[in-house]
Amino acid sequence: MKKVLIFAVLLLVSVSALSQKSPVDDVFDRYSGKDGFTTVYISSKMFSILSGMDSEDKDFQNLVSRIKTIRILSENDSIIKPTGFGLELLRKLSSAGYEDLMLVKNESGEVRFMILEVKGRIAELVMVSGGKNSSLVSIIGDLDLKTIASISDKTGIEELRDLDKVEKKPED
Amino acid sequence: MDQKEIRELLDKYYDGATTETEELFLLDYLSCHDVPEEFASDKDWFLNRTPEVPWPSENFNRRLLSVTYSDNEKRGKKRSMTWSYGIAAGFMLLIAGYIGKDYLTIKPSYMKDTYTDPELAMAEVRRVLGEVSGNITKGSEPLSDMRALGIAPAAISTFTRAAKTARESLGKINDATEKSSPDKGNYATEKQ
Repeated sequence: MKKVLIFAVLLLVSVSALSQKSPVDDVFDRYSGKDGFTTVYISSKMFSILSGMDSEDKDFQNLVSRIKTIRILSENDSIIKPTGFGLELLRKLSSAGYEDLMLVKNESGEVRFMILEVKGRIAELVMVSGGKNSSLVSIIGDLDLKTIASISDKTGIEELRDLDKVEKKPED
Repeated sequence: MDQKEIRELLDKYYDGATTETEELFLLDYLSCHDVPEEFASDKDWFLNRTPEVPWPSENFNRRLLSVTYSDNEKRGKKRSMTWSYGIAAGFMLLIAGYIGKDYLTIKPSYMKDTYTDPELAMAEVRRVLGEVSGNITKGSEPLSDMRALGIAPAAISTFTRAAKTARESLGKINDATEKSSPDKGNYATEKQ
């Protein structure tokens, strides 16, 4: 009887420990694939291909090789009743060990950056945009903020314009 | 008790059905009385049936205790081994769960690559990182102003030194001009 009890307790502890989801995962699970939301996911497998691609910009290539996944979730403009998941997420992130990095206010609303540190390294960078429609960008990897910040100086507007031609995969 | 009853009692004894009292009675009867010829063999058997129980030898108790103690110890060891196996099994379960969680947990539907073409994926990565970077740069602009404030005292000092040099140079030029201009010198004399 005792053995069964101990086994049950261990099983319960292990299952509860493993089933802990981060607030970001929770938001993605809840809203991805639903009407009015766009989800973009770039996996670690794709990043392993991207890090092998030739690029003149070595800093950018180095940054790409250190990223594991990128996830984006955004509310479309067409959505009638915005969920405002950004505010809800920010509250949960604070209690889940994420730290505030900075708050940027612009004409379209607020953009908040939060980071998750593991052993002194930035393991996840979360960018949550408020305003009328919320959007969430989660970058997981071994991140270096200085390199990320330097990209905007190198990324030309022309390159960004070309991205309009990129067609996103339709939602399943 | 007559001989017939004794015989019946003996038969009962041989069948293993006698009580302790009856057995004591038989023992007393056969050992203390002159018994008839027909009970002679019974008497012999009865008097020799109980082998002499030897007295315990020296150190018997100590040896007995040592045997029983080692048994207890073995039982204790066995119990602690069972606990160890249980704990080890628990840890193994946890490790197996941790390693196998990726296999056990079903990935959500959104965790499929949005782009199958690496070029498009790279373009999207550039766009996202560009957007994130732009916001970080915008957010850290006030910090660059702070840095400028830190640089300002050094810049002012350089400017002051340059102004001083320029003033000295201008003074020398003025002196040279005054000396080389006789009209101005005459004008000064006339005024006096």
